[in-house]
Amino acid sequence: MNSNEMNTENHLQTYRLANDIFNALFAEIGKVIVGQREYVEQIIISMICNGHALVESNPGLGKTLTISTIAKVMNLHFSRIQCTPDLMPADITGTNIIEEHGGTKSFKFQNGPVFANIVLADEINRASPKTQSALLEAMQEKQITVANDTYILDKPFFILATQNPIEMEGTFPLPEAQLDRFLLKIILDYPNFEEEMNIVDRYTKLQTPQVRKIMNKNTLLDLQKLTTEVPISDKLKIRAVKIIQATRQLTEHIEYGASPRASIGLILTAKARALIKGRNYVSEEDIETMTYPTLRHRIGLSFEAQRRGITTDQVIKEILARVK
Amino acid sequence: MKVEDFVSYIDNVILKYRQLYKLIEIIAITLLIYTLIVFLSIDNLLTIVPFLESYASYSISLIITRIYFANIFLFFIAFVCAIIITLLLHRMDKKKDTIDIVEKKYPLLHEKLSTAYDNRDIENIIVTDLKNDVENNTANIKDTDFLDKKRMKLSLFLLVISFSLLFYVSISDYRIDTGSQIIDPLIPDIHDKNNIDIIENSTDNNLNQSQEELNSKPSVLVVEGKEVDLTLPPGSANGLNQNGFNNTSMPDNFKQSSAYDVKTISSSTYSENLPEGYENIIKQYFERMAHK
Repeated sequence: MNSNEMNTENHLQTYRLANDIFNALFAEIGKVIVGQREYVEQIIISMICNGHALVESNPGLGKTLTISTIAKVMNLHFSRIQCTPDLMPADITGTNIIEEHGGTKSFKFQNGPVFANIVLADEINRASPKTQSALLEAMQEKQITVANDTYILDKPFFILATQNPIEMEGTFPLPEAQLDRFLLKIILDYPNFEEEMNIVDRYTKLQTPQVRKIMNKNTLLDLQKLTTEVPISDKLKIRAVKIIQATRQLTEHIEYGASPRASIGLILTAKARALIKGRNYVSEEDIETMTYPTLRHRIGLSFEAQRRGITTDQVIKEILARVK
Repeated sequence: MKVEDFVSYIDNVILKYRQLYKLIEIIAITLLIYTLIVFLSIDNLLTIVPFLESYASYSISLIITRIYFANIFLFFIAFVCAIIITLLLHRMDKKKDTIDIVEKKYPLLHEKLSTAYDNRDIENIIVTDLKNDVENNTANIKDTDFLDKKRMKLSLFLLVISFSLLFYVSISDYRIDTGSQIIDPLIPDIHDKNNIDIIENSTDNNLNQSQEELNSKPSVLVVEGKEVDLTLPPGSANGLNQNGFNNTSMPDNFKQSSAYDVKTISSSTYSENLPEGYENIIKQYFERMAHK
């Protein structure tokens, strides 16, 4: 059996076990994270789409815990960057340091925190635009360049950036070009009463919940490949593109609409959701569900809409109702 | 059966059933329209169309009955109208995709069939799995599942009703004379009695005049101061009237007399206006001729 046949066999095996893998993954993450099923699901969708996610939530909702748990369950290298205004690009990418061996001094590249499989860029809007842009190349090209040397990042590579919606003083809002590079914008809401009671019970004991490894890098890479292979009907594909185009045509509330990258993102995330749900085809429900996180950060509301307190989710809902 | 073959097969089945519904509906609507034509006596209108008037009485003899040109023509009109109505009723049919119909009928195939069909040319693990899934689900689908029984029953009911109506109208000859309602606006005052008299007087003047004379006081012709009795002999008025029938009743003891006496009657014109000096010669001539 050659390597190609082996890959195909592994691929097939992953597909057969995909449903079990996802069930086990969610069950294991659920040991640590109470509720927030949709939030966890969307982070995993971003990962198996080989994209990045922007999470907006208030502090203390378990963003870091969630992403570190996912990294543990997936057996991936995890790093965290706490973004501050004085954070420099080299603090993210890494830098050349002088190393001495036997009296000979030489430069050695010291990897920055971006050299991981999962990177949590906490409060990304607190970093300076210069530092933010350092993440751009890493996000898009999956590589970084330091002192004319280019370094390829390990696969899979996933950035989860967070931002705080309430403390806007002293922040640098992400420019539209950079926002567009995030596949999804996930909004994490407060847990309900029962969930919060469960959280309190779980984290006021001496021992915190532990998780076991469910999968590895290769499984995740196989799942990424499988995601692209999930078929979608022409009808749904047309609807997805029409939804994106509607964001450019519905000028009543929208200042600027989504780019074709959003069309790719919507269809890809719908495929990933179908795979997670154990379906071998994309459903209309997948498209509708994934439209919200795909478009939230890609639509610029008009001043009038903002003044009237209209949210992007309301506009997306209106678009979904119009485009059938 | 492959997904594309299944869709093609079901497409044909649905097309076949659609044609069947259409055929039944065309027949039923034709019968209904024709019944309406008969009921409203629209066939009478053919006689006012100059082009068709001459053909109205043509007929074709069949084994048990005779079919008139007017019936054939009106049935054809009803048939054309029925085709138009049926096509209008079914104009939305083509917009319904076969795959949509199948998916709606079989929830297990919902979104699967369309996805498998749209990705029929793609080969990968998931698409193959989907195709197998669809093929397994379509294996037990029967042709008759796509026969819309409700619609078929409705169509047949319509057919029976329309046939019954036509049968009743034809047998009972139950109809409304709408022909006059249509003709009246075309020919104003056609039913005005005075106008009928005028028309009759103008078209049959001589007949009316004689009728008037027969029914009125005996007329007297005055020629150069001498009255001439023009009263017709008894019985001479008992011929056919203008309707072609003699509607005067005869008394039981009535004996028909001959119209004139069988003898020679000399003309008063000749006897009284003879040229002077030749009276005797002329009289003698006529007397001889009469005795001859």
